[in-house]
Amino acid sequence: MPLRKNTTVSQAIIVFYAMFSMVICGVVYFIFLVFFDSHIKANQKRLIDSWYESKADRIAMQIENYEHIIRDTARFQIITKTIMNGKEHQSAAIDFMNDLLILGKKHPLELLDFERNTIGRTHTFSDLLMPTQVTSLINEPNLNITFLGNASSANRFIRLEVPIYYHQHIEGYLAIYLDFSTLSDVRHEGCQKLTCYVSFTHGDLRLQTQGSSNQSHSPRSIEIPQLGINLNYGQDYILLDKKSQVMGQIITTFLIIWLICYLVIKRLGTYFFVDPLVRMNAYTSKVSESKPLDEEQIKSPIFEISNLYRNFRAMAKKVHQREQSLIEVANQLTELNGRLQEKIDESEERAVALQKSKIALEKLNRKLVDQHQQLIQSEKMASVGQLAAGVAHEINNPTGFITANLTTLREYNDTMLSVISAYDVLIAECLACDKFSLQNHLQEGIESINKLKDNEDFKAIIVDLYEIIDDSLYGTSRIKSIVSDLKTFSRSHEKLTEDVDINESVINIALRLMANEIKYKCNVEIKLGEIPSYACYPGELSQVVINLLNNAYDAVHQNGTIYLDSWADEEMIYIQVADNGRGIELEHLTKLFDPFFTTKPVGSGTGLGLSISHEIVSKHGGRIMVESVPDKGSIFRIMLPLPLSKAA
Amino acid sequence: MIIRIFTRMNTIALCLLIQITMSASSHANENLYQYHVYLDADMSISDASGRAIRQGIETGLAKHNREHQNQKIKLMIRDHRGNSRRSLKHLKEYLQDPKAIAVFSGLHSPPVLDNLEFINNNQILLLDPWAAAGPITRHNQTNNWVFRASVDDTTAGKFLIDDAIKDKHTRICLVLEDTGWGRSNYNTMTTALKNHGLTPVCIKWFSWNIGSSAAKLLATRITENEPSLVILTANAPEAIPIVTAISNLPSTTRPKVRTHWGITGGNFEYQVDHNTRQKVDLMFLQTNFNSFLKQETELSKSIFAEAKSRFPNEIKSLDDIHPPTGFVHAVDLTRLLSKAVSLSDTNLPAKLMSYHIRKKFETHPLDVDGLIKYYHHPYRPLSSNDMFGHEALSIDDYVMGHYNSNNRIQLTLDKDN
Repeated sequence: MPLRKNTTVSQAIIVFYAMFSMVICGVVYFIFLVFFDSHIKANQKRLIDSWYESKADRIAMQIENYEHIIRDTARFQIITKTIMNGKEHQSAAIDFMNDLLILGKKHPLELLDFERNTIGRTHTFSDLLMPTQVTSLINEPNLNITFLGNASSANRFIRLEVPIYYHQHIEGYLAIYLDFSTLSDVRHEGCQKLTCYVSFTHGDLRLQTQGSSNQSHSPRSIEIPQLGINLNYGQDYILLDKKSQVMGQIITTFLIIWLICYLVIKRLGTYFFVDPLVRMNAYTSKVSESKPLDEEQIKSPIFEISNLYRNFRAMAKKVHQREQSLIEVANQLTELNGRLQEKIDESEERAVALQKSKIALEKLNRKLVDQHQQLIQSEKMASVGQLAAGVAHEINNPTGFITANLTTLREYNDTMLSVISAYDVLIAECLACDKFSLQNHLQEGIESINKLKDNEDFKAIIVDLYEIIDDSLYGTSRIKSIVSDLKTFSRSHEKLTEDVDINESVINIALRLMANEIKYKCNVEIKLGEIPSYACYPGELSQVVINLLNNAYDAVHQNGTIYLDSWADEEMIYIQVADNGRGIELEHLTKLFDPFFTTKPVGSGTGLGLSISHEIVSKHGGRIMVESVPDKGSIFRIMLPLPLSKAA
Repeated sequence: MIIRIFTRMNTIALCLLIQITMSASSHANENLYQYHVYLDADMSISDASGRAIRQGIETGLAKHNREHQNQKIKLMIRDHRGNSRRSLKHLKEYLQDPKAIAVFSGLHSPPVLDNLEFINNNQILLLDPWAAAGPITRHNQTNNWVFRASVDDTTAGKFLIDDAIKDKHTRICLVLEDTGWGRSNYNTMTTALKNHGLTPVCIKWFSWNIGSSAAKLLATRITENEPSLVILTANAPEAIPIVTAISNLPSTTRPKVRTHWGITGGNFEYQVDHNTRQKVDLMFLQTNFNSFLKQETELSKSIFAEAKSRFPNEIKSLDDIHPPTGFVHAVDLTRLLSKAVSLSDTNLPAKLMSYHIRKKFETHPLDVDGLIKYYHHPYRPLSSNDMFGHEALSIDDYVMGHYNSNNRIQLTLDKDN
């Protein structure tokens, strides 16, 4: 069936299925005809051959087993005794044989004397109807096998007889009777359906026949030497030939059934699958082209398809609704867009204004920074101002005694000048007098000079002169030192100085600057420990110490004590200023480092001291700690990290 | 072993040769013999006993045939191999022989016991030179055709017990074959012990063909009762493992062993060596044929000479007559038969001759000098008063014997000497 253009998938699958099935059937039929028929026949023949061979083996094995067992049984003492001296043991031997199970079954057994006269038989034996026809199958000294009965007998037996030995001499025989019908039931399962033929023969004698022999059999014979018989069998192989014809008929019937099935499947397939799918396709096209959807119902008996359609309809409706709402939203968006443009214009103006504000703010900020700097500087100046009185006194004091010394020096200068003048007169007089009067003159002149010297206390003056000069030099050095300290302290933008001795360049400078002011109010106990040299801004740190000393000074009562300590461990340098003054209230402690916070009267402090101190210490990577107990005192501790720990 | 097989083959070959020679000349010689006597014995398995009996009969017959030319007797040998049915066949054959006057039985009692009824009913004169079972001569009081010149089990047991007690054994264990023979010995021995006021310390039964393992177990069980002496009722095949097992017991618990004479009928002495036998002080019942062994009498000498000339290849010395029991008994019985035959008329038909012999045996003083003793009137009619009427020997003729280092039987008399 050629495929039409635009054939539906379902139709295509059905057509493919049809073509494929026909090809497979054809190929299978051909292969069967050509190869398998003969192969199956050969196999079946082999199978049947091996079946009968195995059966023949089984019979041989059974016979061997029975032979072994009967030989073993013949060795039993009870058997030997009965054979030798029968009278005493005979009944016991019969009982023994009656109870004997051989391969799980009781078999008729017969005990015979050395002349083959029966000594005893089992009870089962007497119940059996023994055939009279006896055929010897194997007759050897050690084994005697006979067949009792013939092909037409109701009962057929194989009789196995073995000798009973006593001291290597045959003294009797033991015989077992095996049901030949059971032993010889060898026909295979198929034998009941097909014509087959099995027989057992001994020479020309037919012992048993099953099935009927006819010309179509191809007879085979297997020898069973253990039993001295042949197993003959034949199989009607013509039936196998007929099988191939039957196979042809089966295939033709199968093809007709297949064709009917195809037509039915096609009709049902169209009804169940194709039509609903076609209608759904049309509906889908409408959806894709956004055409209005009618309320057409696509009915399908298949639950899944009708469910699919229902879901698809629901989906299509939702799509349509969403499409409508999308259009509305698009319109709203356009409107909003216009408004947004207006807003953008407005915001641009605002941005310009903001830019202006920003510039103004930056200016303001810079101003604030400047003001902050000025504030810091003014605080510093305030500190300086606070220092000024003490510093002025410090300078004033040496200046006073230098001035006094200079006055005294002028007086001493007059005295010395008069002495020098006396010497000058003497020298002139001596130059003018003669040799004789020179001596006298010189004598008189020296006496008058000594007199003058004595009058002026010249020796004392000479001694005092050194002291006056030393004192004055000391005074000038003190002034120079104070000025130097002030200069160090007042530098506003100093550089980082390496290898600063904190004790000297920070604490002692601060102390010296503060010493004059403090020493009249309180005691200062100083314990400066060994501190490694440190890179810092010494002036700024001095400002901190001064600030702390200043606060302590304010806090202590008259004759209070300020403790100034410094020490260092492996990580930190500690500078501690403590006092036993009035302490700090708890609520003030938290605000202590806030800018402009002060407890001092208005005008006394800027409120920036501790804030700036905190800033300076922070700049060094350190921190200030405060501990205070009201009315007991306060401890301020500056902790400056050493470079190693700073790095860490 | 090889020597034994060789000897056995020699014997078989010789037997065959004799038979062939005899049958070849049978037609020629048949008429020379008026009578036939049959030897129906085990000539194969316990062949030594059969051979000794045959030698004894033939030696006896040789003298008879020489002296009684008109009453010549020919020995017909049949081998029943211990099989009662084969023995019966031979008896039937005997009955078909018009010249047959008597049958000699062999070592085994069962073939005789099984066929006793047939024997007596068919009036077969049976001469027993060996089989010891008590009932053999007592089956039928009125019509009894069996005569014995051998040990009688009814007295053998008593003799063994008496001998043991004489040797100061009081802890006696009876070990018996579980057969009629064993049971009859059990009865006589327990009765004998009872007469001495004793009971056996243990009684053990064993079956035929007992193996070495079972024998070991049996020996161990025996020691549990600590007997000083074991009296064993067994034939050679069973005695071999049992005596070996007892000899292997530790010397502290090992009892001595006395046995019935059944052990002498086979190859016991070749299977159980002298050392083993000495370990258990093995002794067994024998009849007193000391005079023959010692060749003390003229008769002994002449019989031995006769045997040597009759069997030049088989018998060269006294040691070749082995076991002597069978030979001696067979000679004595043949001499008694010969005497009875000689007392009848010549040309008496065989059947009548059997009657005649039986009558002479029972009623006539025979006065025959035998190798064991002088038989004045050895047999009497059997009656309830005289159950020993058909016994030529009595308990007085029993002695104990043992094997010497050459495996030859020596009587206790010799041992004492």
